[in-house]
Amino acid sequence: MRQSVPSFICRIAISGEAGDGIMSAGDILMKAAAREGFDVAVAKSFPSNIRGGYSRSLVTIAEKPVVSPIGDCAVICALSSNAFLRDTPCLSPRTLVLVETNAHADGVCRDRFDRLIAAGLTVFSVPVLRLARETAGNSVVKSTVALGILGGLLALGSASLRSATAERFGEKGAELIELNRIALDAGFRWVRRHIDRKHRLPVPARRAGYARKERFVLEGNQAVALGAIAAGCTFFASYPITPATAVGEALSHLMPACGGIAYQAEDEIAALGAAIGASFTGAKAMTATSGPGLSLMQEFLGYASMAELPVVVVDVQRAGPSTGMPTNHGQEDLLAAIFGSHGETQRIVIAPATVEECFSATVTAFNCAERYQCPVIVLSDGTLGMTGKTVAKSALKSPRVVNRKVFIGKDDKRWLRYRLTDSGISPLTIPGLSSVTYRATGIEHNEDATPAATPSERCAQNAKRCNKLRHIETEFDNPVLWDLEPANDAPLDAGICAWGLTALIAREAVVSLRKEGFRIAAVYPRLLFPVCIEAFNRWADLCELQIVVEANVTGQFCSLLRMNTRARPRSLTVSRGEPFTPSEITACIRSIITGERAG
Amino acid sequence: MPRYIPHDYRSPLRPTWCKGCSFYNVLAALTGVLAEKQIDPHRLNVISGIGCSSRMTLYLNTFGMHTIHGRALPVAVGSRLANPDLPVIVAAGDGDFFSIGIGHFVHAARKNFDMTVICLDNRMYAMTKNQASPTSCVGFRGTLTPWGKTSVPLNVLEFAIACDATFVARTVAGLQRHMQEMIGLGLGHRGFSFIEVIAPCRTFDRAATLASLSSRVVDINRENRHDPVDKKAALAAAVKALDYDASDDAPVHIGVFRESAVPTFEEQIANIKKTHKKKSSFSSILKKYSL
Ligand SMILES: Cc1ncc(C[n+]2csc(CCOP(=O)(O)OP(=O)(O)O)c2C)c(N)n1
Ligand code: SF4
Ligand SMILES: [Mg+2]
Repeated sequence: MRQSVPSFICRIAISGEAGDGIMSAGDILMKAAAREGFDVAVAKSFPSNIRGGYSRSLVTIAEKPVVSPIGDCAVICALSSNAFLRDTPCLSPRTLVLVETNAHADGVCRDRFDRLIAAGLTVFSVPVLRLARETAGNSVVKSTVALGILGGLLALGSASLRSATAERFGEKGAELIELNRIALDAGFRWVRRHIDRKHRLPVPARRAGYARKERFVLEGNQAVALGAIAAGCTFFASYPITPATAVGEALSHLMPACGGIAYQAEDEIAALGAAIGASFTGAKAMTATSGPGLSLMQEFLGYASMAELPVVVVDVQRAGPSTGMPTNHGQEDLLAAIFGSHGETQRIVIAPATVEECFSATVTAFNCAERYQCPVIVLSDGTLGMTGKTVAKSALKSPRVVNRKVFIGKDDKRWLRYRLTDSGISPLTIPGLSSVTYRATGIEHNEDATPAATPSERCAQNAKRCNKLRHIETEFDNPVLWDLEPANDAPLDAGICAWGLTALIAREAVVSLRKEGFRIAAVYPRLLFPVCIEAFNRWADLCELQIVVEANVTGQFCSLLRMNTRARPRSLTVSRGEPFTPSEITACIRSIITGERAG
Repeated sequence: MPRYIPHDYRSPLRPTWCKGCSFYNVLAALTGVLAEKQIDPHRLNVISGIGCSSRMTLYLNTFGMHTIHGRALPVAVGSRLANPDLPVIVAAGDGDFFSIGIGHFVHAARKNFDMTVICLDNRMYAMTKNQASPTSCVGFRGTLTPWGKTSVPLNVLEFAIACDATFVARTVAGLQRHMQEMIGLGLGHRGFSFIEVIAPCRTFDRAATLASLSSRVVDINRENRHDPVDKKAALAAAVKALDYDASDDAPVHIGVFRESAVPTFEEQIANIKKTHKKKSSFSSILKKYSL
């Protein structure tokens, strides 16, 4: 049998301190490699301060579309001691490590440097800072020198790196562009002189026919903004908060051209309040925030459920509680998104796993909000929101859009705003279209929207609000993504479930586990709430050992499955401000399975 | 024959206000103004918070949003931005606007949203049965301040002027004609119009009666020739207007304290849209993100 050539994939970490230009370097490398015909993703980590603190761009360059933007690196390029220490424990011996000469000069760093060499890794001390000063006469371009070095190592075309760099700094003037060009060349030259060919990792030849025109470069938060526009959103309100601000930044630029408005509110309560006011008035409306803002929005979420008004809330999660770790990864808001607010509020929670799904999930969120007349929460997270990626144009092709059915008619018996219907969905109208009117209220009410407090009226409306979401699992397009073994009789080793960004990382782990011979039934829910009961009961029937992987400490989705389905999964969690890596998931699941087998 | 008479603006719902509550008069003034202006009930959005006063929306048959405590203004902002052709009236209590919701008041006023904002000021929390509000007087004995409120009352007129509200007026719930005149001017004003209606609670405040308050009014525009265009003079008039409960014969200052012509938030947004609107298709928007 002919061995198939594995397709090229190379992951590179560039790290240093905030203010070192690490984020720009990641973006430039992504753009240059994308233009050379590769699929690229860049995941960013940075501290919440403007200057200082560990900061890293993780760039994955691949021949096939990148699955996980997170994973083990082939190359580590650390520009500060702090970054060197953070990025170099437990590396595979095949990793190539580049470290700024000054960053391993003494103490712990020197020890680490020696230990890496003793462990058989290839380690280069790179005088990035000196090269920047000597050639460009300015240390600000040190990350560009590093880029040149990486470009040389990968044998990327210097022209594409040059133009991507020039575009990035274009606004800052010709002088800076020239300095950066010099810095890039210095990096390339240094590789030619000091790194032996056997250590280089040249990318395969440029891929013909993979034209620039077919792809975009998008970050998760931008994809959310574009999804909103594609869904017909014309009103957005927000209050700045890391890591969600970029959704509003994108929409502030896009909205005027779409005839809509992006409004900066005085706080998150006002942002959701304004979105609800706009929705009542007829606009498709959205707000975006992160954990602290979601906490402030609780009372209005309940109002939107009670008054049955469509609204979309994007929560770009960060590690909490309280201020927590503003720029760090976490999937900790799930239960707050589902249950937060007093009383029992009917709502829908959706989680995208990829940049492409940030687009489609936002469209779906609007479609659901309009259809079911309730708040819909899109649970993204900071890592996904800030992950940049090449996205095929076909992923953004005009999606199916649901518009609310507006009642237009006379004020007769047919018009009852909260009419008890079989579906639970009642007629809705907006001001100005016909002579019917109504008063939305958060007070329990009867069919014609007037306050009502008898037990029977209460029960009828409560049941109606619950009923409308009863069949959502069948009404929703692809509520879960299945990844099953080809049907045969061999028993399964484990069932794996993960949601949001962790699903993407787990997908890579599942590939590795299968290569090792394990048989896995994987399921990745997109609709998190109401829980996909049928899908997860099926999953529970398929495999005895079920594992839910998620980035929180209490296993939130795992408990939700235990509450609602036959599944009795184990919980595999991490809550450290960084996502899982595929190899960690692989190792943990391998040991759970082998532990099970042993007995 | 006019199309609408005041009663046409009433919803079928019977108010649950106490007998003799001054809010009935405000409701009558509102329906009176709407009939005067012949506004189509389905072309108006009346937004309120929570409180006895905020139930106002439920008694009108216009479009309305009875929202949550303190948050009527942000909802009104969303409504104004989503459809600038739909006029908005916000009606709520002193507790709603100036305790829990005071932050929103500052911003909605300063941004000069075009809306008519009516505070039904009974100088207490009535719905929760008699607690001190920001406008209650010093010494007010509420259920949570049994030994008397210690802070001085907030002067809502001075506050609204300081927040650059572009129309600030006061009236008394006992003066039907004046109330209608002030609300009418507010509706006609382009920008944030704030109207304080002195409207005492019949049940928890037996001391302040509409009859006494109405008999003591001084119309600052007619009698004092106050010029609302001058901000300094407006602030001075507002400061003088606070102590109407100092004695049984203290004057109650009413009228238009402040009026200024400033572009509204909505007008400015319309301008931004006009200059930046190249009416782009979705595919042309996507170009910004091309490789
Ligand atoms: C978040 C929240 N806190 C407290 C309440 C209870 N509450 C209802 S009305 C009200 C005060 C109302 O005072 P005001 O706005 O002056 O209206 P009034 O009843 O005096 O007309 C309070 C505190 C509530 N509904 N929501
Ligand atoms: S408690 Fe006071 S404010 Fe409330 S309805 Fe009765 S009289 Fe009016
Ligand atoms: Mg009050």
